[in-house]
Amino acid sequence: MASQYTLDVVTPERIMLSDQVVSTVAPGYEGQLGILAGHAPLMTELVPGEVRVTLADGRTTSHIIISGGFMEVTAERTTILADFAERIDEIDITRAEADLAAARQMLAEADAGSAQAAEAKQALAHAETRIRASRNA
Amino acid sequence: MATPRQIRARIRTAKNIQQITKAMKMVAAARLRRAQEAVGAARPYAEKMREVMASLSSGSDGVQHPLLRKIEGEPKKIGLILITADRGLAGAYNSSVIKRAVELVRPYGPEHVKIVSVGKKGAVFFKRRGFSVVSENPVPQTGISFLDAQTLSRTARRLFEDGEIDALYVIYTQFVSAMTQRPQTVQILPLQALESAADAKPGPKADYIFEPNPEQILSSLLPRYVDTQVFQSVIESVASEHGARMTSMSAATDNAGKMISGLTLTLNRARQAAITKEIAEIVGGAEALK
Repeated sequence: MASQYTLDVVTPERIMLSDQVVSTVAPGYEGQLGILAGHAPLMTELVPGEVRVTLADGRTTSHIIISGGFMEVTAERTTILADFAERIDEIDITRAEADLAAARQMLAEADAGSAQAAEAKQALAHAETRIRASRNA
Repeated sequence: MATPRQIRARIRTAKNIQQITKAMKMVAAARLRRAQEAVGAARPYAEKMREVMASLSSGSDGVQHPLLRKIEGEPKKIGLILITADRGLAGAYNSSVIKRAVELVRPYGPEHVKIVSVGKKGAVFFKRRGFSVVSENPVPQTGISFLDAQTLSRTARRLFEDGEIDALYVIYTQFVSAMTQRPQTVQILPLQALESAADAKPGPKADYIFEPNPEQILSSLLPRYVDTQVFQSVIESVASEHGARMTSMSAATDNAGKMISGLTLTLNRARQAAITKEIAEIVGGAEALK
């Protein structure tokens, strides 16, 4: 079938997913992005959020929470480079809440507009997404 | 000559030591396996990262970024991420890293060097010599997570961004095999990876759509690139540490074994000599009675 392609989701700690997929919906910098087979080459930044993947059988979906990263789309394959990635059922909600508190504190201490503040905001968004996603799951 | 009693005591000591070194060797071997897996798991990410960097650097010229700041002439103040072990008994592992570090910092002197340390050994060494160790971190026993590495790298990045240092180096131990580990000195900042990444992948590039634009992507990619490098250095070092400990403890176990067999031989000789002497005495006494 021509309408599938290879998707790799890699983090520094492991290869999260490497499989034939039909579609990927990722939280792009300028909004949600859907990637189907044959998409034009694309390089984008991803914001913290949820990646929804439909596997090659067309039914199974996989939800992965990422903390932001990059996505490269080429003719043959799509690669998501994420700092952290978790399947929804792997999320440890107590840890996520602890991270949220830590991120809030970091944001409060950082100077507005600095690189620290930007990092803190990202951590905050990631923690929030994780909590929301695991509550809904 | 030592009495049989003294020799027995020494054999007992050697046996005890052998048991300890054997246990340490086994622990190191088990940890090494896990550490090696971590090194393997991190590789695809690092490779992908380099590829993305290469595609990006062709699409964006003259990017301004704090991490790309170049200084005029030679750097005067440097930062150093020093990765050693928390404990000794790992052969030359700690000392060869520290030796590298000493060479690196010699031209600058203690007041121009800031050290971010992983592992107690390196921190203790440099603190005693009056260097400022801005951040001390233990070697995580359960394996380092990327988050730990990020915290570490963030500390070092900030020193650079704030102008406290002109260059950032990392000294770690490259994991070649369980038997061979090589200490490495790598300059991380200012970033030089852009040029080399572009050189590494010549030829026509895919005509990418960049979202939002190459510069923006690059500027969030660069800090992550640094983090990845730091992460990689740490996990390689951890694997090396276990490798070095395993090798040296294996040698120690062998040596203890040799010592035990040597002592056992001496013991048997002494015992034999005592018996011979006693027989001679009895025979001599019986002879005198005749």
